[in-house]
Amino acid sequence: MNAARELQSVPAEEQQPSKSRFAFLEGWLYLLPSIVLFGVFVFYPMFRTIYLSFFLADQIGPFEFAGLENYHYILSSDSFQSSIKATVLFVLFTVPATIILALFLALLTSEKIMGIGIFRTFFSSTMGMSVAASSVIWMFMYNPSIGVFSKVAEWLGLPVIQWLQNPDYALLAVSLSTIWMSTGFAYLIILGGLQNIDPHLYENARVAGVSYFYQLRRITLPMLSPTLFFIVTVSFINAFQTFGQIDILTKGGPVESTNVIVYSIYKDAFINNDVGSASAQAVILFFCVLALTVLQFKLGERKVHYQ
Amino acid sequence: MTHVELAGLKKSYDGKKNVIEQVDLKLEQGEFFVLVGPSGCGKSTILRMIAGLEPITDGSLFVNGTRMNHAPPNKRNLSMVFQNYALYPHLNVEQNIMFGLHTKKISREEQQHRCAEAAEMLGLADYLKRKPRELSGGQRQRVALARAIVTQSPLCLMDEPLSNLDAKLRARMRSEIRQIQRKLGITMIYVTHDQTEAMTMADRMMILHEGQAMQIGKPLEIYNHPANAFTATFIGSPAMNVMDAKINPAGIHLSPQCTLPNPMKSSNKEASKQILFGIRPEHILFSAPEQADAVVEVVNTEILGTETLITFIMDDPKKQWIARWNGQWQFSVGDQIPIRFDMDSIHLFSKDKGRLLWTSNEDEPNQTAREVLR
Repeated sequence: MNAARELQSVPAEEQQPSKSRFAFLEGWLYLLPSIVLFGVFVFYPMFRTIYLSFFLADQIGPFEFAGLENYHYILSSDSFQSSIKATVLFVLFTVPATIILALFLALLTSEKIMGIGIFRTFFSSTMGMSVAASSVIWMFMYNPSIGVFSKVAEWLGLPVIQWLQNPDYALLAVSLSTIWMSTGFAYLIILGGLQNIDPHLYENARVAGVSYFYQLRRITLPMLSPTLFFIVTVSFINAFQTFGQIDILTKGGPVESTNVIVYSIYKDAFINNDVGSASAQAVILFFCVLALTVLQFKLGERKVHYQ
Repeated sequence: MTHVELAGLKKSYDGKKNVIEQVDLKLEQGEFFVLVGPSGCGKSTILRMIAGLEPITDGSLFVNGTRMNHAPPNKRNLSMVFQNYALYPHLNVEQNIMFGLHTKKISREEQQHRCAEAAEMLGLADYLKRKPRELSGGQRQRVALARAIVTQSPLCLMDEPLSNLDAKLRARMRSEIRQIQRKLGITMIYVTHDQTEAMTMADRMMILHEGQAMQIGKPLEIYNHPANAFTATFIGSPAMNVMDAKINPAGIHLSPQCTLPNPMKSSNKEASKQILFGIRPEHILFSAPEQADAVVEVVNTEILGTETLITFIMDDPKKQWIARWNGQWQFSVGDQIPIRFDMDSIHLFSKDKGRLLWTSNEDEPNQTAREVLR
């Protein structure tokens, strides 16, 4: 009996390698398109950036090995520190406000009422606008002579503020426009999360007779936590990478008050022609975002209830 | 004492077509009442209207004599068990059971006490710290039950609570729910599509079809005296045989070969009309050839151990009849067997509306006596 089994297993083993080698190649073939795309557009630029950060380099290429000098230089520069400060402030201004506003709007419109589709379309519509187009709209609104803010301030008898030219207000102004731009996406995601909650959970709460805020705290927010976790992570990453609205509205000014890190990278690389320093900043940004995301996962997963 | 009363209850979603037509019903204190019907018949809608989760279009709902049409669900003093249990996945069993108890102004100790008591009753004491996803279907079901029990509401509504369980567990939970209901003396309104659940659990039941109450009564009453062809076929498993037949003063013609005597003695003198002939499988009997009403062809037999279901045809192969006989009968497909109809147990329904035209007007004791003799 044993012998028979051994005899049978021999040809099977002989066939296996060629079969599995084919399956192996076939697997790689399926992966090839994404490997090529990621390789060309993500991995190569990433490793190239890390490589360049150890060199003195201009837009043509590296010309002298510099070791950690680029890092040493930027970490001790005031400009980079103010850039870090602007970025952190910008993130703190935009992310919580965006998510709270989006959550509020989503809670308002999660009911099934006639005509609710119109409001849902309104609230999510900023998602469909390009950063450039919305920045231009906001630029006009902030304009001290023709903008709506000055007109309203004038009408109310308040002093007219130079929103984008005043270093005290510029970052706030850019943040405000960013909140407006990113609310649409966050709203849509949160609304989707709300719609996914089993309505029976609310019906049971109605039979039990708990208050709206108890329901919000004990049912809605815990059930929404995976969605909120997702949107918080994505919003953080997006806020750290903000570029378009800064470029159009303030160009990092006035007095570097809106010179967030990605804009600073852009300026160093393409205006100051110091690709080495720009690469080092990019690497630092990458590790900051990575660390923050890992931290979020570590802290967040404990509070998130997946079904 | 009347606990819950529905008077002319109606429901319409579009303002034109009523999905619930005029339901009138009085429930006694401590009664186990079952709403049963095929899916989409409106039974859950009625339950949700009683709970206050769905507005009442027309008619009145009285609880203990007070009109409650517009009271919010929590003011109606009831508990509810949902089909999918509606447990909170992020709360553990204990928190789930005690959810919302604080609104009833109950002290923390009393809440704990009630929770422990309910958990004990349902065998959940060891699972209080677990999350719902760590429980089996039956345990989740019990948590939902416990949540209804701890409120100590005098009225409990259940919306198909057993439909997500396997057959064995369902049978056990049926009897468990019934025992708890008796013990606590609560009034229960129980929705199901399963006629077995209705038959085995109900004190009384209502059969619904397309939003209309077809019949209200005790399970055996409905089984023995269905008011129409729908009830006759819906209650009972296997269902009552209901077949087209032609009736005239000479007799009931089931097939060219099979004519039964016409029991409607004083029936109108119309030459001949189409009716529905109904008879339960257990009332079709094996007969000696000389007494047979018909000789039929067997198309299938299902031997269940204590009884045998025989599917047969007369002349039309599309009309399959089922007979149920005690014992183990081994027929082959194609066998010709003589059968006899128990004429005291036939039902005649009108062809158009399925209304009951005639049934032997026996009273209960006779019926039982006959069952024993047979």
